[in-house]
Amino acid sequence: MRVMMKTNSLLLFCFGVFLLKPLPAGAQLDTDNATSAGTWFWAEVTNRSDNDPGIRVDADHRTKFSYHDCRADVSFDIRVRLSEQLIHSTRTLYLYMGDQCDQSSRLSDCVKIGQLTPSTETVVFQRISLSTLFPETDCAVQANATARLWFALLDTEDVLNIINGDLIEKGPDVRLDTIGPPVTVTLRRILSGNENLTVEWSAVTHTDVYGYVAVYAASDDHCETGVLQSGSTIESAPYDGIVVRFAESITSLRLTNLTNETAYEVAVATLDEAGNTSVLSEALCAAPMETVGFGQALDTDGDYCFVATAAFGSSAHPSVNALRVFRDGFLRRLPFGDNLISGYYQVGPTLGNQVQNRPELRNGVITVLSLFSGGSALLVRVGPAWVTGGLLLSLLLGLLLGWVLPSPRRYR
Amino acid sequence: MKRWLVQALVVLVIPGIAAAYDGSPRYGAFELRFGPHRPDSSAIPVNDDQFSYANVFGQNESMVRVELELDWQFARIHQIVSFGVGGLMGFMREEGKARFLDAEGQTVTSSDTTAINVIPLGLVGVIRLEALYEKLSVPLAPYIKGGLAWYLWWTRTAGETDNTGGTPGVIIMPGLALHLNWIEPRTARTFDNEVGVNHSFLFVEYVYARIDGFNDPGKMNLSPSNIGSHGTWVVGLCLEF
Repeated sequence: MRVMMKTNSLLLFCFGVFLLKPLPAGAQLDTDNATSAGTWFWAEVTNRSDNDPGIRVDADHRTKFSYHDCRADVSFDIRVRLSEQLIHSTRTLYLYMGDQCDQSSRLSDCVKIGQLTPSTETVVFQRISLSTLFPETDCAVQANATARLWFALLDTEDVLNIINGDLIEKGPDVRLDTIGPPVTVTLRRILSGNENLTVEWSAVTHTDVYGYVAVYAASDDHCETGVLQSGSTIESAPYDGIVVRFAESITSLRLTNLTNETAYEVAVATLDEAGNTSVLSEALCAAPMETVGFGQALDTDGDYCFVATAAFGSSAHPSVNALRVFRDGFLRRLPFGDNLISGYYQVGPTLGNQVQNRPELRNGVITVLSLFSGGSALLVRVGPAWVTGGLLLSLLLGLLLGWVLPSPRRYR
Repeated sequence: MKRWLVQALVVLVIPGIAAAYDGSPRYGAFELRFGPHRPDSSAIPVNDDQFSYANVFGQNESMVRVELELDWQFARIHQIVSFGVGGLMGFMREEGKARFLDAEGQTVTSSDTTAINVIPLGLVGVIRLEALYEKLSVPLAPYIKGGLAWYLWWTRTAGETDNTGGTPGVIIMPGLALHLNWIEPRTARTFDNEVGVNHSFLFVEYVYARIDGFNDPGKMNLSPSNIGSHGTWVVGLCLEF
């Protein structure tokens, strides 16, 4: 019984390892914004209409969506998911804008943006324009404003008579923010790597800093060109590449896929939640270089199959060739494969002589190697990582479940 | 009765109570082992001294070795000594920065990471003295292990493997284990009845490891240099079952 339990535990663990996986990106729980059991909205702002290739904000679209410019022609969709009970409701779904639209006494003060009849699980309020939410699109005036949106499922549009069964729920906020962080970074150093550069700076603490942007531009060999000017904006900088990272506490960024021995200027700016940036820092300049690791600097130490050749009588025998493929396509790919092979070469000649001089041993070796060479192609195909991983996992689990915890014994 | 006499009796009697319990048959031991490992940089030849082990990974930096050992106790002189064979497997790693040559031919530290990974394997014979805690109520169990080792290693730089190899050698490991059953004899007995673990130990061990490929200059010498030229230490937990 205990053996069965241990075996079942082993099997469950193995399957569990393969079945457990994180939720796909973007998956959400369906109980958010529930007004009561079974009735809820879940809203997402999507499909911005502008195609500006500048910096994008991938914030939590469910509650807040920010723009870093205030062009009047910017618009977006609001996608709403409804619970089952609301899908076929005879009521109309309205979208309102206002500070306090959750009470009937105040709903009349809110501005109606749109209305839909909910007939499917997902409905979309399309092309809500920025100018509708922020009538005065003067960036100097509306530098940091918020439009609060609300969903109301009403029997009639008479907002003064909210009757039983009507629902009003908070929707997403749309925030207009056009001012970048007031602080920039001070670069400490730049390090070269193989086809990459790493730039480091002193830590920055400010409430409006949500991330960092690094821009780089090719320079001359002596870094004298001065392509990236300190204090300039990113939009005006003639950069060749850009790296954006939304992480408040980082103090370095790595720029990859560069060309070795080509000098690059690198400057960094801070980033706020809306994607606005500060001015650029003073630039540092360096060239990526091909690096030498410890393994390459080491000063330490074959294509013959002794045993198989001795058994089959020829190094060109198909089974010998199959084993050679196994050596090169599987063993060499193991971290210690070359050492296994070199170890075999130490003892191979002796073993080969034994096989050649003893017919009874030779027949047995032929049988074993023939069977193995037939299956070795499959091992090459699967790959050493999966085979090794599977063997090690099985061995470890067997040891832990079968050996470390033996059956209990009871004694006086 | 004077307090010191009571305390002395407690220290002497409790281990005896634990030892008086015969327990279930014993088959082997499982160990979880931890210790430092610092190869001798001067014993590892490199093309350029600027890329030596000490320069890349640090003169005084030691890898942290984590090992598992499983022993089979094939013979025992009852309550005196046990004889076994065991297998060890572990892992250790050290990380540093790769380097490049600047225009003046000087090495400069880069932003790329270079690392050495080692899997130490061992096959040892084990002799454990049990008489001290079985018969004399002294909760100590000295032991000695010895055998062959094979250290598999590979290096990686900037995310790619750039060298691999393996170095065989010999290992001798005398140690001293502290028998824990006397601390809670009833719990120890329950542990044996329920799980099958007869004895628990904390141990400290000196490791003499000559991992040089049997004097092969073509093999990377991974002998530790934490204690002398070939020594280091290990501590851990041993469960005898």
